Order: sequence, then C-alpha cells, then structure tokens
Amino acid sequence: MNTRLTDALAVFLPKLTTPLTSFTAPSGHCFYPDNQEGTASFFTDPAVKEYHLINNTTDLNYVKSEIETNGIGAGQSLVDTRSGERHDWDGSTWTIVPGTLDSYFRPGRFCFSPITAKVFHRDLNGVVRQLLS
Amino acid sequence: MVLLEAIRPITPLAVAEDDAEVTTLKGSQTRFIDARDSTVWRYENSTWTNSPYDGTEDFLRPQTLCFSPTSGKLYYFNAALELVSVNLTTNTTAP
Repeated sequence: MNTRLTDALAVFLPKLTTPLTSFTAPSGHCFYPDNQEGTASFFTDPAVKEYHLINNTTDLNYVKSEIETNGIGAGQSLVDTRSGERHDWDGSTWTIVPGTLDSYFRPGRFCFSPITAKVFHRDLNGVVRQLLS
Repeated sequence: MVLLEAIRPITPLAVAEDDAEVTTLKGSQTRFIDARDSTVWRYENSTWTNSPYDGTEDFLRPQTLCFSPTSGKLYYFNAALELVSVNLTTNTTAP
C-alpha cells in the first residue's frame, strides 16, 4: 500500500468508525465535498455563509455607514473581497486587518451579505462573483 | 446511526410575497412558503393548511438560498427563519 493511500485511509477511517453525529474533523486533514482539502469539517459549516462582504467602494462606504449609524454596533467586521482585508468597527473607529479571503470565504461556497442583500460565489480558482440577474 | 449529508446551498421552493400570490400558488403547488411571515402552506388530504415554519425539514434549511421557480426570484433564508430577497443588481440603495 503506498503512502498516499495510507494517508488517505488514515483520514477517512475515523469517519467510518465514529458515529457521524459526533464526528470531529481530524486537525489539519479534512476534505470538503468539492474535494478541496481544508482544516474544518463541512458538516459544521453552513451551506451559505452570512458575512459582510463587499466588492466595490460604494458598498464599502454603504455598509460602513449602516454599521456606524443604524445600531448594528461595535464588534462588526466586513471583508473587502478585492484585497482580503478585514475592517473592524469598535464603536468609534475602523481598524483594517490585513489578511486573505481564504479565512472568511472558502472556494466553492456562497456567501450572503446581509446589509446589501447581495450573494457572492467563490469558484474553485478563488474568483469571487456576485450573483446577478 | 443518523447519516448526515451536506445541506444543499440552494433549494427550489415556490415563494409568495402577497395574498394574490398565495391564491395563485394554491392553483399550481402543493407546498410553498409565504415570505412575509415564513409560514408554509401545504395541500394535504384535499385541504390547505398553513403554519409557521421552524426550519427543520429538508425542503428548506436555515442559512441556505431559496430559489422560487414560479417567480424566478432568489431569497436567503437566514438563521432567524426570515426570507430575505436577494439583491441581484450591481446597485446598492444609499442610506
């Protein structure tokens, strides 16, 4: 048995011997339904993630304004899909946190942005597109 | 053992937004949801009944998208069990 197959069995055998209702993803080794390897179990991920995602400057300013003025409150964050930067609101100022989109929006998934009511899809190449009519 | 399956991100389900659409859908569907209050209409035993939907049935799960094949509209069914119409335009309404 080659090493690659052994590694694969080591990942999947615990799934077969553990009731799925109590399954915990092995740290660092789990496969999404789209066969992408990741670090979290798709069993615990919502099918569609809800997060403040924006893809243009108009929406960036709009979402920030809504968070600041409409009582949505401190502790809110938004992510700019163009840069992967996260903008955190502490109730008085915005802080930009550098990062990558992978931390918030995995390939093969949909995301609903609640303030703009827009839906985005990220393809397996990492390209983000808004669903349009 | 309960076999868990990945929840479909988009599910097809007819959606009504007003009383006229409720009446129309009763003529063509056996199950649909009213977006105003998230109640589900069901036609069973020759009778229409409606009740608040708790999100526990496979035909529509919370945190998924709902595509209404009768209207062509797309909705997001959030964790609070509300159907939110998806904005499919590039524009965003200014505050």
